[in-house]
Amino acid sequence: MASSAKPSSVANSGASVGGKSIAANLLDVAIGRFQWPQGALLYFLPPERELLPDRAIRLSFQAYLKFSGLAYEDVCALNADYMSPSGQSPFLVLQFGTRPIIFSNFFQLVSFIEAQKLGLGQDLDKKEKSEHEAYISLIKMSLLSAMEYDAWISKASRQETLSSYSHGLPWPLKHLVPYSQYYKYRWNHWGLYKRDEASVLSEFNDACNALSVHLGGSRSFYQSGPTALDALMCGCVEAILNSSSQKLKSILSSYDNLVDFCHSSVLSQRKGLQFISSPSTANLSSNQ
Amino acid sequence: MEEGNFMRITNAKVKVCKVQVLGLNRTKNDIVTEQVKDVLKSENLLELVANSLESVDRLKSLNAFKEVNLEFGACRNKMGKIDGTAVTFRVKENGLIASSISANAGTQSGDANLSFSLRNIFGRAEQLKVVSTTAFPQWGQTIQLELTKPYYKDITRQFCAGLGTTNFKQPPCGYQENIYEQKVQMQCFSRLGHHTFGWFCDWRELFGFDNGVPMSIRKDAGHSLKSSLKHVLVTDNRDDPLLPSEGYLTKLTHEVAGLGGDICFSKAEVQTQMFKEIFPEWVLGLSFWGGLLKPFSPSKINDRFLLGGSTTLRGFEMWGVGPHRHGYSYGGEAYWATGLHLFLPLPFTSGEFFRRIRFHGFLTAGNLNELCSLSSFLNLLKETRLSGGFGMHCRLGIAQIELNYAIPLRAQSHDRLKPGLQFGIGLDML
Repeated sequence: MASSAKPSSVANSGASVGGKSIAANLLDVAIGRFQWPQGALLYFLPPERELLPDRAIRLSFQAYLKFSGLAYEDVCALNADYMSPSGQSPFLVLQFGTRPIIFSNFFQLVSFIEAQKLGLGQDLDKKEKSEHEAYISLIKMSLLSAMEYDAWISKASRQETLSSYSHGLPWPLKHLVPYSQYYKYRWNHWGLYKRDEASVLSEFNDACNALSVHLGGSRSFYQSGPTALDALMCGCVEAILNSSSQKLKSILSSYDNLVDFCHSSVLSQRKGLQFISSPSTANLSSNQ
Repeated sequence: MEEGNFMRITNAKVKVCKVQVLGLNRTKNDIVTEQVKDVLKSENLLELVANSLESVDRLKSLNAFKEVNLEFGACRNKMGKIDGTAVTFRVKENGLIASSISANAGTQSGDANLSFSLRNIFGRAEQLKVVSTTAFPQWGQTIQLELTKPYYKDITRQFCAGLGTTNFKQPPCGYQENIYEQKVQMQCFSRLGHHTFGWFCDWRELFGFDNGVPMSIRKDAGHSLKSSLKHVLVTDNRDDPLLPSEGYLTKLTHEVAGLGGDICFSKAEVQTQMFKEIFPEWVLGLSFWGGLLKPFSPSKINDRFLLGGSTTLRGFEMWGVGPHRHGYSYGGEAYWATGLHLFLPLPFTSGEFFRRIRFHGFLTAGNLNELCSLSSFLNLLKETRLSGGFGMHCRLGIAQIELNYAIPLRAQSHDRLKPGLQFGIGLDML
């Protein structure tokens, strides 16, 4: 196995191992023959560690991949948030050759997949596309912020959040880590921390109202079929309805069409969201 | 005849009737008395001088005085008659507060140190020290607070308790780590050498993995608590700690983790150096390092050994030897490394400063591997890495600086090599 070294050539090849697959993939992307890789893995936290916003994003990830027909497998890991480059669960690992590409942000994944023309929303016209972006931003700014507020700042569920961080840790870390995470969150989200609950809830209500009006009586936001907005909304509604947050739940429950939307038959694939592992299906290419 | 006179003088009986220490202000009498009491036991002149000089050293090592002067005088009785010898130590106490600032720089990184200490706080040589180190570019930051105190006035036995926090990046492994550490340790001397026994408790957090880091390294992410007992034995037999030409230095470390926390392992490490002067000022140095880790739960990347770089196996990138996962160092459970150096003095130079700078030619060899089977253990010898080169070696205080031209002579396909010029700075160098 031992090889006599040829220093410069070995060093160069060693340095380019990481860059090569990215370059090759960029080329694939550029010439339009990008293929969804086999063995994509979605890492997320187990239910006892998962906070409300993490659960909403995880369900959105799962819904989006299901709607797009992209094969992946679920992996539940107690340290999924620390494994993620952004420090947030969930994250999706796509294995290209020797090097993984990781998406820890739902919106990045959506733009990547849509750029490859693999995802949903290909049939939207220009106006619908900009509207679609605006509603996604609305969910990000209002619904997800309200869920974060509920999980970290609202006194009712703060204790539950802190205890979720103590899972699987030895003494005395089970007491130290939750508080260190809480104070870290507080400093990093000072603007949200200083807001009052009523304004956050009223913004949440306004956003639900706008989304409810936009959805109307149909089973998806756009006639052409489910899009990233449907996946995100489905994830958020599902997470809130199954959470212990009474305030968010009561507001959301008053919008029957949003609740029905989540339970509707158009999103029959939503049953798949409950899966802990789903079987891999055949590779999809851009032609499919 | 002269020798006889000398013997007669040194064997001359003396009677020490008074020992006084002048200049004490904050320092307590009891700890000073303990250091100078042997002077009273002196029976002849030789003993008196030896004991007095030893007391001066002991007083200086309290780190409480900036100056210690010794005076001998006559001691007179009430009648004004000389009764014996009076020994006087005139001391000047250090200020309570001391601070220092220093910086090191290399081709790839550097660090700045800022330290602040309170000396002799309660008058019994206690010291409280705060050290802050910042390494750049963005490699890490350390803040440590340490309290040391002699144990029962005996300065050879030190009690030490410390708290610290370290944040650093480990680019070869693709992660960042935060460590919050506590330690309680005892230092003492025995016939074997200098011992350090201690309890170390580290709360570690691995996070911030690069995007390309594979899952096999990423799985170690998150919080862990290592609570361990550690024993370090240092035997130093060298003629000069800075520029040794004869003798050996051995450092044995044994650590057992698992007293609480979620990390369980036993780790043993040896570092030894031997020096021999083969011609005047031509010194041959041989060093050997080895380590073995026996994990009782799956080992984490921050507990495993790493090898390679300018301070260990020259000619390789930092931690560039041994198992890798997709270009990132994975570490191993066993390693060995050996280095043979020939140090030569700089020609046409003189003076203390130039003595510290020497040419050296070296050969380094070693290997690092995981210990999953017998064959992996045998591979430690089979897949030996080898490198050689020459350069300049400089000793500045306790730090060593090297500028080398190194060539890897034997390597494995997954190793990361760095042939050519390599700059290294460190406290321990292979």
